[in-house]
Amino acid sequence: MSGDPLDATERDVVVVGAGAAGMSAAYAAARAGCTVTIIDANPVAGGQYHRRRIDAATYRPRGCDDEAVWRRIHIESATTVYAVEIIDHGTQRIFGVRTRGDDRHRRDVDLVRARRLIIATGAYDRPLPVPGWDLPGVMTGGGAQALIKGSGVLPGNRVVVAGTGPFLLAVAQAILEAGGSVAAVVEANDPVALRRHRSALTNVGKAGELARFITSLTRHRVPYLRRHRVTRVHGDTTVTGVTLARVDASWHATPGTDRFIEADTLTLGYGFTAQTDLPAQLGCTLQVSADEGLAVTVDDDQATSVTGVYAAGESTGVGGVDLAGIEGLLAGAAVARSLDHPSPLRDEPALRRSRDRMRAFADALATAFPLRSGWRDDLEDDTVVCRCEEVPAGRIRNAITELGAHDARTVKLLTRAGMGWCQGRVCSLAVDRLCPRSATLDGQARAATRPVAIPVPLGAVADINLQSRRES
Amino acid sequence: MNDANPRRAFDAIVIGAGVVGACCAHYLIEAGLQVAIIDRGSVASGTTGAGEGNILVSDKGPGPELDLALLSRRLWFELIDVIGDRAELEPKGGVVIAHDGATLTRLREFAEVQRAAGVETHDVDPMQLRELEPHINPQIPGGVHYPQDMQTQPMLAAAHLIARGVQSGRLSRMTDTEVTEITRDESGRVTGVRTLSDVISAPIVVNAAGTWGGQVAALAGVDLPILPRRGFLLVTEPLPITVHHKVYAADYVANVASDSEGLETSAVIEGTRGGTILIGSSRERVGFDATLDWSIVQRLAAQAVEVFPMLAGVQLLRTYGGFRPYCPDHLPVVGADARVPGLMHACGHEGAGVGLAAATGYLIAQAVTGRPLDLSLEPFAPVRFDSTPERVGAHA
Ligand SMILES: Cc1cc2nc3c(=O)[nH]c(=O)nc-3n(C[C@H](O)[C@H](O)[C@H](O)COP(=O)(O)OP(=O)(O)OC[C@H]3O[C@@H](n4cnc5c(N)ncnc54)[C@H](O)[C@@H]3O)c2cc1C
Ligand SMILES: Cc1cc2nc3c(=O)[nH]c(=O)nc-3n(C[C@H](O)[C@H](O)[C@H](O)COP(=O)(O)OP(=O)(O)OC[C@H]3O[C@@H](n4cnc5c(N)ncnc54)[C@H](O)[C@@H]3O)c2cc1C
Repeated sequence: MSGDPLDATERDVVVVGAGAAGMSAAYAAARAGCTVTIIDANPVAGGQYHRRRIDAATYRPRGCDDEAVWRRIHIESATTVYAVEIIDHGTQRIFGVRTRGDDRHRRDVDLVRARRLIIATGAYDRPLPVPGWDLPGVMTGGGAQALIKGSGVLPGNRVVVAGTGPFLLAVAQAILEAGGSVAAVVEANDPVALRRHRSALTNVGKAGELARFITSLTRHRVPYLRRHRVTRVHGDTTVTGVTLARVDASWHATPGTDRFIEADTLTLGYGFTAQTDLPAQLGCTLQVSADEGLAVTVDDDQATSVTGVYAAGESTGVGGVDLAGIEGLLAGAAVARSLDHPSPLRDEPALRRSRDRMRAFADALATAFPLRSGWRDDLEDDTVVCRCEEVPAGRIRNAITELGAHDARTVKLLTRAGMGWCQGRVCSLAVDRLCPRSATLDGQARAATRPVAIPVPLGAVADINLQSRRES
Repeated sequence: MNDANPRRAFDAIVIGAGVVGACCAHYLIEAGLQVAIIDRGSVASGTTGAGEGNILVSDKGPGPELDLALLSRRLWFELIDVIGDRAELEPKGGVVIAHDGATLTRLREFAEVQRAAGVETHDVDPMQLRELEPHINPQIPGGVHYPQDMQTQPMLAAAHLIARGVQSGRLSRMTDTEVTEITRDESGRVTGVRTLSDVISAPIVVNAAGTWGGQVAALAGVDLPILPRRGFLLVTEPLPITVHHKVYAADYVANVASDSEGLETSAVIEGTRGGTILIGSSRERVGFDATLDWSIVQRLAAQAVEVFPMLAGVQLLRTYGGFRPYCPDHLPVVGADARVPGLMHACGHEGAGVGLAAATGYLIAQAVTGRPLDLSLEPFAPVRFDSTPERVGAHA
């Protein structure tokens, strides 16, 4: 309908996520001539890694510096996509992108139409429970990094950084750079195993980055305790310290190795979970990636199994910021091609080769920091596992042993674990691993399907005007 | 996964560990039988884990289903005595409202007929409505209060009933075990089941496979016309109690008995112990397609906000849904299958399986043990759809 102001909301491409992946994708697609809107929940573009303060210079991914192109890209910040749907299944495929603004007002919602969708929603931290982890002062590594980068605030005066994976080093580095103090970096695995993957390592500059982080720890006299875990968090109203223990290869604590260290803050992180809510809503195929988490399956063009939907960056598997940027460029170019625009990239084959090399490296890295089961020993019956619904470990164990629940879905139905505000983002890994059998890929995909990615007022979804736009 | 029980011979096997299978198993062991309950998934992994837990009399007109519902409601109290408060039974009552005068008149006529059939009903005017539900839209001209309507948490009810049976030593719980065949002897009589990895014997097999009841019947070589009817529910953020009863609009009563294939929704609104408000529920026949349709969400939300305007500002947290098992005449299939001696059916309860589960299990146990039935199973007979009711193998 011509003259309908709502037509303005139909775009060639909607990119969800303004991190390295989404920004690169948007740039490539716009450069090729597509109309592009980026939607991101944060108030400022940059995503997890390039998170910045509101007054900082605008983020521009590597190789994306033509400002004339950026002027054609519309960025909708502080706006979250709660659902995506296919409005028109025909040859002129049209997606509906449902958004909600920050103030959760019932009128602060919109439905944007798009011919192609690029999912670049990144990943979120993967914590595991430990007694005392619900005390104020315990946060995720990503949360600590967001505080430092986004608000210039140190998470605490004396921080213990614990979990597994190379990102522990990045978190410690961020704290040290901001002038903070790190009491210890506590790594459950023994990354010496990394040496086995030397061939993959030597191909990518990433290995150098890790070496630099370790040197920096040494310079600041921060102990890097491998094969150690935090087995308990102490404090009445806030964190006052943690108990550490040496662990074996399965993460079981070695008796007699407990020791207490003082700290006012603990960050926990056992890798990341790819944010797959939106592609799961559309039925995109998911896979289990090298880090044992789910990720969107994509082909050589970053296309998902659903026609018209592409994905890039951490939502397709955790791999670092440089990889995310390259995947974004490739996704943007593929989308442009699918809309009959020429590729905006000069040397696509070279980019594809770098991507494949970096993916292989990320997978090697992930297998060097596996998830083991010894953490389960720490949980007492009253240790809260699902914080939203306050479900303690004892209730979960009872559902398993007495009620015959053998998988995470049944445990959820019988205990409410994972039914609260965060919809299981925090606890679902732990619940799954407490069960006698891990969910099948289907089961995991089902558990990871959140029909409403973030809460939205009923009055907003009830709004018939929002509905009629799709029919106009 | 079996509870380390080496036993492979039973008096009866129940296929399906949903709320109906759990009740069948419970009453069978109460009758003294040694029973196995088998599910290809976990306990409550079918529709029981995908719906609501209303135990309703309000939506049923006089007839066999209402008789079954009234008996079942009584038996649910018995079951709660057995498993305690863990199934979150709430005898909270239902309130059916009408959006206009004409509907209200029809609703009240319906209530009067129900009253004659043994249902407790009270006509309420807008003032009384607001006493029952302080947040209700003041424009609603009136409704009917049904104090007998109740609610339970069906997954917990099923899981605890089964767990209790296991503890008593009379029930074997076999989950992650798919039944692939119902075995019979030369005379056609049931001898047990074959699973993917095992042979388990029993002279009685109860098909409590819900929406998949037709497929399970086929494993014994008989037809049972059970089809899926999709339904979605909306779940809000947890709130302090704001909706006290199960509240729904009168057109729902019409929907339940409808034959249309398209989408039907009616606002069914109720609180839960967790504090969330459940808004249900749509009814469509689209096979087993689980993709969420936002036009359904929009209609459910709009209908709910119309009844409780305060819900407009309440956050929608998630949606879920499942597939109700329905039969062409909207009645369940309960009782012995005349075509296969030893085969009993207890499935096809559509949107009332939780409510009807207790009576279903109770009557199945009576039928299995040959005791006089509290209620005739004639209207629920498995062969009622069969135009050529020939008996398989019965000529021996
Ligand atoms: C603590 C920490 C340290 C790290 N250190 C390093 C490092 O040293 N080196 C390195 O290479 N990498 C590092 N990383 C990883 C790096 O952050 C990621 O590789 C990179 O950010 C991935 O980019 P992305 O575009 O895929 O996702 P992100 O940067 O995560 O961007 C995703 C964006 O999507 C938005 N979003 C998600 N869902 C929605 C929705 N429904 N609606 C609207 N918006 C949405 C988010 O707000 C976010 O802005 C670190 C990560 C963390 C958490
Ligand atoms: C949205 C919605 C709302 C609802 N609200 C209500 C309500 O308020 N009140 C009410 O009374 N009812 C309600 N219902 C209906 C109710 O949920 C069902 O009628 C009831 O759960 C059926 O229970 P069941 O035990 O027969 O089936 P199920 O719970 O589906 O159990 C059948 C079991 O059989 C198993 N099975 C199938 N095939 C095999 C095989 N070959 N081998 C082994 N196992 C097998 C399945 O895994 C399944 O666990 C609702 C349904 C929906 C979808």
